Amino acid sequence: MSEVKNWHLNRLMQYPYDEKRPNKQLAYVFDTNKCIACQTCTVACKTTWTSGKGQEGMFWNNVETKPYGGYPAAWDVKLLNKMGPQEWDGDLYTGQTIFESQDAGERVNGHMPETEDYAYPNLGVDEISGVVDRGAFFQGAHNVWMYYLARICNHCTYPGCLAACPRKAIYKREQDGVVLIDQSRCRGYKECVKACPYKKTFFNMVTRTSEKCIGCYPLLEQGEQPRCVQTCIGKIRMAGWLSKPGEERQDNPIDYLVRIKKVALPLYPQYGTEPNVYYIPPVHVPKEFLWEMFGPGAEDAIAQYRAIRNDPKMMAAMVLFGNTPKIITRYVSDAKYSIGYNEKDEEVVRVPLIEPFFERDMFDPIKNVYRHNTA
Amino acid sequence: MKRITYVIMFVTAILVAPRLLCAQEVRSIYQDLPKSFFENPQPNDSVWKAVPATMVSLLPQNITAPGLQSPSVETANVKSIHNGKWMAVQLSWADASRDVNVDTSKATDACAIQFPIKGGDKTSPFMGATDAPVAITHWKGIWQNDVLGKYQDVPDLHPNVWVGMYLFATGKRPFPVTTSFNTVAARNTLGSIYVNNPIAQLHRAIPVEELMAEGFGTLTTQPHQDARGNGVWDKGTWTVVFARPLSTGDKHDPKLVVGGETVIAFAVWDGGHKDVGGRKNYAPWVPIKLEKIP
Repeated sequence: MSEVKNWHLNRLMQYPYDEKRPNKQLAYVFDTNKCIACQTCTVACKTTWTSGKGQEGMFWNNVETKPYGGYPAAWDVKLLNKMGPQEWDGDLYTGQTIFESQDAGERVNGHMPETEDYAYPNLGVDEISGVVDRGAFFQGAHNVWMYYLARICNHCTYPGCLAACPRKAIYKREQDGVVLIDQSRCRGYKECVKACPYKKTFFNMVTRTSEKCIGCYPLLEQGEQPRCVQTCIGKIRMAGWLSKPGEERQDNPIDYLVRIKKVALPLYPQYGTEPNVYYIPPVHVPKEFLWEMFGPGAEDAIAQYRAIRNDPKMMAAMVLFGNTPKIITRYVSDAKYSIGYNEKDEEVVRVPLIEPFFERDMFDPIKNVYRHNTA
Repeated sequence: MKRITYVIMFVTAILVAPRLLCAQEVRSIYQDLPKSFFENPQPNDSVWKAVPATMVSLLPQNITAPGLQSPSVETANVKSIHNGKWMAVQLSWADASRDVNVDTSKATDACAIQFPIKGGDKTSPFMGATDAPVAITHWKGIWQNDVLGKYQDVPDLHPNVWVGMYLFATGKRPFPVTTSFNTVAARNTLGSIYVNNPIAQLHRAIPVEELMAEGFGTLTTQPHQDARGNGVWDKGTWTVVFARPLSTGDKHDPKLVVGGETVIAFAVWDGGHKDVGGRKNYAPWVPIKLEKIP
C-alpha cells in the first residue's frame, strides 16, 4: 500500500499504487438540476458502444431516479450499508475508504451484484421520496422530492477497478486519465466489477471478459467531447480537462466550476477513488441526503449555484454547456458573450449570456394569421 | 510488501505442512497405451481403474489477495499414467453441482496442474517466480461445454431475452454468437473476441489451455498449445484428465523424463462457490515420479 493524496477527502489515504496523476485528466460536470431523464445519453452510448451480444443489460451510461432508483439495483445502498456509518470532520474525511476497510483476502471493499440486478435499469424511475399528504396542493415548493442522476464511469484518479485487478489488465491513460480494461489481457475474474463502488465495470457473458466506459477516447483524441455529452439535449453536461490540484486555472471552465467555485461535487467522495464526474447537486433535496451523496460541500455548492447571477464568470461557464461538440480548454466572457477556445486556442463557440429576445407583431401579414396563444 | 508476503508464505507453510503429509508422492504408472489414449483422453476409461490414486489436501489460496479464507474443495484424488512418450494426469474431486456458466454472479468449475520448468527447488509453487517460470495447464467446465458445441450464449442464461437487433449480425434469430457474428463488423461488437483474447474463443477445440507464469498476476497463455484434456461430471464428482507429450521442444513446457522425478501442483475452483482467479484451492508441490519402462 502507498500513501496518496486525495483532495476530495483532504487527507492522505491508502492505495495499492503510488500517486501518479495523468498529464491531463478527463473530467465532467453534470448539472442534476437540468436533467430530465430523457435517456438520450443512454441511447447514444448504447448504440455507439454496447450494441453487441452479451451487452444486452449493459449500460455504460444510465440515468436513474433518486432516492429509490439504481442500476444495477441498489448499487449504492448496498455498499453504504456494508461500509456502515462514516464521518466527516468539516471537509476532512475521517472515515474509511474502500481501500482502507477491505476484509482479509480482498484488495478493495466491494460487493458483487447479482446477474438479475442489471435486468431493470429503470427500476424506481420517477418514484418520489414519500407519499403526498391527502389534501396537499402545490404551494411553490413540493413537499416530496426526487431527482435524476446521470451516471457514467468516473475515470477515477484512484480507480477501485484498477486496484482490484490481480492481472493489471486495467490501466489509466497518461494522456487523458481515461481508465481502460485491456481487452486482450482481461481473463474475466470480475474483481473490477466487485470493486468499482459505482458499478461501472461490467461483465460480458458472451466474451467472458469485463468491459467499461472508454470515455469515448477516439473523440477525445480529436478534441471532441464524449457522445453522452454531445447528445445531451438538456445541455446538462460538459467534459474537459481538470488541472492537477494546485494548478487550476480561472479560465478553464471545468477548473472554475469544480475547484474554484466548488459548485460541482464528486459522487460519493467518501469511497476514496477521487471520481472525476462532478455534479451540481439538486437544489430541492434534503441536505442530509446530499451530504451522504456529494459530501459536506453540498450546501455551499447550492448557495453558489443559486447566486449565479452575481457571478458572471460562472454564468459564462454554464452557458457553454451543450453548445459545442468540441472540448473547451479556455474561455473568456464579455458583457454579451461567453467564448470558448480549444487546445489550439481557436474559437470553437460563442454563446450569448442572455438569449436574444424577440417580440413579434400579433398579426402575420404574409401567412395572413394571428399569432396568439390560447391563454 | 515482499517481505510480508514471504513471512506469510513461511507461516502458511508451517501451518499447513502436517496436512500435506498425506500427499506423499504421485506415481505415474507406465502402460503400453496407444497415442490416442492421450490425444483424446477419456476420464472414465477403464484403464484408470487399475491406477493407484493419491489423495492431495487442498488449501484455500490466502497468500495473496484476492483469495479464499476457507477452502471450498478440501481434497482431490490424483492418478497418473504414461506410455514413454505421453503422460496423463487424472484429477477428481467431489462437487455437488456442475457449474459451467459464467456471468456477473456465476463462475465455472475448473482445475489446473502446474509443473516447474527448471525444477521444483528453483521456483515457487505459488505461480512461479521471476526468471523461474512454471507451466500451467488449465481446464474449465465452461470450456468443456464449448467443445461439446454448447458455447454459452445469452439465452442460456436469460431464456426470455428479446433483443430487437444486433448490429451487423447475420442469420436468424436468436443470432447464435458462434454463427451470426462472422463478419469483421459483427466481430467488432464483441470486444475481446475481436482482439483474439485467448479467454474469448468462439470455436475452442480443446477444453484446456497451456499457460506460463513468473509470479502473481503474470499468467500468460503459451504461444504453442501442446496439452490435451477432457472432463466429465457424474454423480457429484468431476473427473478431469490432462495429457501432454513428455517432451515437446517448447521452451515453455516442462521436460518430463521417464524414470525421473519432478513436482506437480494442483488447483481446484468451485464455480458454485464463485471461485475464480486467485480465489481457489491449491496443493503446492507434490513429488511425481515417472515409472521406468520395464
